[in-house]
Amino acid sequence: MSAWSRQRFEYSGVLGLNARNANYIMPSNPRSAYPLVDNKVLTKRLMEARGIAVPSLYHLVEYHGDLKNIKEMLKDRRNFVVKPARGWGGGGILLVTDRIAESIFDQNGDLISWPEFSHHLANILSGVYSLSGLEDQALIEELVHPDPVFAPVSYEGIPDIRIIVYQGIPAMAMLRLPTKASNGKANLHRGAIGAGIEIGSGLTLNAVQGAKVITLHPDTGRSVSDIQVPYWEQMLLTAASLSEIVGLGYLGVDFLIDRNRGPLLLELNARPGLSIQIANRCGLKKRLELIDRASAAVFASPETRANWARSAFSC
Amino acid sequence: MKRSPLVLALLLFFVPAALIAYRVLEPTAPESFLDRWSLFRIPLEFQVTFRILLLVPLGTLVVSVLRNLVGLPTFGIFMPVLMALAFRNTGLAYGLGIFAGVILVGYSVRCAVDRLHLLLVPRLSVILTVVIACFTVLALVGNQIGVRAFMAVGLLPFVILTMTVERFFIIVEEKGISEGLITAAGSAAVAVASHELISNRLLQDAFFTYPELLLAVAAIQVLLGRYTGYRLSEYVRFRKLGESA
Repeated sequence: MSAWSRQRFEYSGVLGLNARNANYIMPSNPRSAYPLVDNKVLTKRLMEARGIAVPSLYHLVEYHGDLKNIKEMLKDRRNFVVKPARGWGGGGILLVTDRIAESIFDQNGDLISWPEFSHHLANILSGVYSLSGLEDQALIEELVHPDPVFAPVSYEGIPDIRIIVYQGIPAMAMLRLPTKASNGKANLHRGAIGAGIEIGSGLTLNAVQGAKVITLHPDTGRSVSDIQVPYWEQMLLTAASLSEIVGLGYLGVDFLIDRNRGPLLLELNARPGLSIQIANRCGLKKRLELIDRASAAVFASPETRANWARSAFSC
Repeated sequence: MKRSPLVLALLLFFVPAALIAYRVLEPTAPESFLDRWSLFRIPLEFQVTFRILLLVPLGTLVVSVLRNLVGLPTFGIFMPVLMALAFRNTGLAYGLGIFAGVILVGYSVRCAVDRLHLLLVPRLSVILTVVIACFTVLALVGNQIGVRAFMAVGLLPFVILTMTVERFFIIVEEKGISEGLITAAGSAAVAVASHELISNRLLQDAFFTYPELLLAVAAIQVLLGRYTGYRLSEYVRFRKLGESA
């Protein structure tokens, strides 16, 4: 690669994987804090203790023996989400969106048989989807009903909002929109859309799907730019308060917005991905360096940090 | 006529010319400290192992370079090195064929057992069993048609290859077949590069004679561990950002 394009990269402030790992994750994220964010059960309990809203936990399935009564345990639930406690990249997550009498259906409206459902839970428990490949637990939790503001730009599934927080300051954000290609999931590597969010205003910027820059949602045909993300200030403030709570200096925070309950903290990530830069058409390194140079007064409280970010980061 | 039971075995081994010359010229001179502590003094059958073992760190260096500088995706971190070691028994072409074969057979088995809804460990065991059965048949066929490489799969890390099959399956399920094939190709490329280094006679001689070269390898690995620049693949991944600057 020519020095010329390397310089262009440096100039645009792109953060690469090596630099992310060596300069940001390793110095800022102590190993001891990882179990807390890698295990969704622990994250959920800590957030609830700190008064941060999360999707409610219905059941925690810990042992294969629990699967015998699974139908009985869920008999009053019309819809719910199953996910591995220590999963990664959205693997193993199953949305049960509807129930008619004894039958349950996933988000595509396909019937799931109870043996299939049990098998899926058994797979989670055996660690098929777990980060380490070791035994895992399965969470059965509240299904979030997305805020209608995103309905024109989502295909099934539930959109989520990712905020990268560095030293307690929200540095970059994006809205992830499920598509037909992503099978209703909001994971970028599965084909979901990532739309950058301007930190200052909470308005979506341009968007990408895979490596393609897009302006319209491929399935709904509606524009994905200039959407005002609701509860933006509240989410920024929550995100800014999390570094202290979980002890991670470099952190990815994911929110869902429930139509009734407002923003719910979905999960935390100690190694957030770098595609957010493509969604924002903006390098992350520039912003992280700006944060490193910010005056001490900026870091006084979550409010001062969120406010500073809102004035400093308009791309 | 009865066949003779006589079996001949040959072992190629290396002695530094300087050492021989010294022994011939000064047969009574006391051995120096370094001569007594030389790898050339350990029994021959172990020397063969150490000639390879000393180059394994170079193989891992190749993995570091190709992953952290180039950005090639691989299954696991050291699986390609184990493959490279296995290639020594099979030769490069057959080794790659066997790798492709394991992935192909393993993937078919994995798809077939997916419907049975087996738990993780028994499922991996089934894949391993079928893969090993296939290679046993291959060895028998190889014996019949006289292709030795078909039988020389003994040291192939089958257990690790079976884990690779599971990872391949998950990547294919989650990110699509192309991503799976790219990762498989990446692993194969890294394995081939490591194999070429490990098989290099000059390097073998150098490291066997001067095992302290390992310190230099470790130094390069430390340097590489502090490389925080871009990976080559990131120039492609983030090309849109380079354009807008």
